[in-house]
Amino acid sequence: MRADLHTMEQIDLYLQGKLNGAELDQFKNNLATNPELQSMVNDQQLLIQTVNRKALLAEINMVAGIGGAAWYANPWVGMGGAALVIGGIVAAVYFSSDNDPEINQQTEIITQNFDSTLVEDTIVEDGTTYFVMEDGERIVPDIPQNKHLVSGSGNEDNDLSNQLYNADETSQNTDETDEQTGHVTSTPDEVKTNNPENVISKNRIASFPKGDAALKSFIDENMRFPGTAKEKKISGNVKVTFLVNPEGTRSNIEATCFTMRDENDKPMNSTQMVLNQKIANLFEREAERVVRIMPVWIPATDSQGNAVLSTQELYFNFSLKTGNTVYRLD
Amino acid sequence: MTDQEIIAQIRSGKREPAIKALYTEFPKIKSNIIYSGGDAEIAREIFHDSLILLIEKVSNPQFELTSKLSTYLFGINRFLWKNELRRRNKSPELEWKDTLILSAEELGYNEEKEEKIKLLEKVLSQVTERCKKIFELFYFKKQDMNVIAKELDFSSVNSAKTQKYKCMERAIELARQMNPNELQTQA
Repeated sequence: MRADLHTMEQIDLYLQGKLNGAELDQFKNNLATNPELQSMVNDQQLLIQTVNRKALLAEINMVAGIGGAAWYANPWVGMGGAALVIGGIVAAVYFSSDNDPEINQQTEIITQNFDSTLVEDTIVEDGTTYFVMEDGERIVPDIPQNKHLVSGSGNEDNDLSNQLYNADETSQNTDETDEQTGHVTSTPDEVKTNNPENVISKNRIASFPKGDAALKSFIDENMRFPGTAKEKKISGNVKVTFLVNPEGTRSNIEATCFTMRDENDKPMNSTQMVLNQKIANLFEREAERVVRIMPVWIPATDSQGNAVLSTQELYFNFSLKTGNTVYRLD
Repeated sequence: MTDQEIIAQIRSGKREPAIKALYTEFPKIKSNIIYSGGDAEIAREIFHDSLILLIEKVSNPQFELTSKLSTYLFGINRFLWKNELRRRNKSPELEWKDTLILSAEELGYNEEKEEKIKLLEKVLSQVTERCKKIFELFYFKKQDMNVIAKELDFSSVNSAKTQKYKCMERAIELARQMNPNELQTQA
């Protein structure tokens, strides 16, 4: 270790109160006579305090994010329930308000990205939305299916939102609208919280800083293919849901590995999925990790432009052939 | 939860339940702030900053509570909100119920230091994610360097340590570049 790094270690120990005896005396002597050392101690102490404050703020935001909802032992998992409830609210708010053309535009682009990377088509049967994958396989995403699965012009969407809004009230035209559009209405029953902090607005959805291209390159740089999965030549798709706090930090990150492929690139059946649960967990943990280390997001805003809490979903595709990819749906 | 239980939890590193208990004070503080010209967003900001200051205070084993914890929390909020109003060139009388009137000295609040921390916050958003992770695990989560080295795939404890100090060196250097007058010795 270089000499100056050694000094930093000494300062660290001093600040933690772990220096004692002759070492402590010597350090104190140095400190009294060496202004440069004093300045280093100050800087280091402040930096540590800043690190702690940032981490503390993230913890506080996490508590604030769930408001009055149930508290879970492990903050990184098990928050799916809250996310779903909030997801319901997203849908409710979205459908019950006028549409913003800017958002339609934005989501359209994202949908196209999604289509071109993984999903060949989206179809609706019996009120359920399926993603048709590249090989013709159908996947039912176990997400609050509500928004933007199909891109359309702003005007169409506008009419649509009115239709859906009416359908919600009368419960009569729902099937018809679903078939036309691929939208699935959320039932009002899903909206179980009355915490005003959780109301999410349509006005601007949360986004990765500098856009989806930056998100992709961030994934390229930071996402690793789990070693064991690589050895066994298994690939997988993971959905990650999380909250974007008004400060842009993420909380309640939860990943679900919903499909995996074996070494012959054949989709696994449910038994194989269970047998390879450990690999699925590796994919999930890696996806959660990547979401956790992302830079601060641009939060969603309400009609006054105030930053608000919002939900986000990202889909990660761990593939040995094409590399890791990411897409968003909402 | 009693005040002593909250304090014990903060000191033992189980902050979440303590934060949750303290958060029940937020609605009252929020309405106080909104009543004197703030909005929900600034109220939340002030409240979160107050929680941070409170937890920093309480974490010090020498800290002794001289009032109810909630009263103290109200006092910090009032102080920070007054500070913010002063920044906006307003100084209305704040009549809050059940609050302490705290001065900057009593609170150990140093404007200059807070400015430096703000600068360092900017710096921290510029260091690599790996650096942030090491800092957080070591200083905040107080994890052992052996564990950190394993978790972050370092080849050895020593290389993790070296990396940590290099990150630190880099961050301090960045801060000095951003503002050469800042972060100089305070003496």
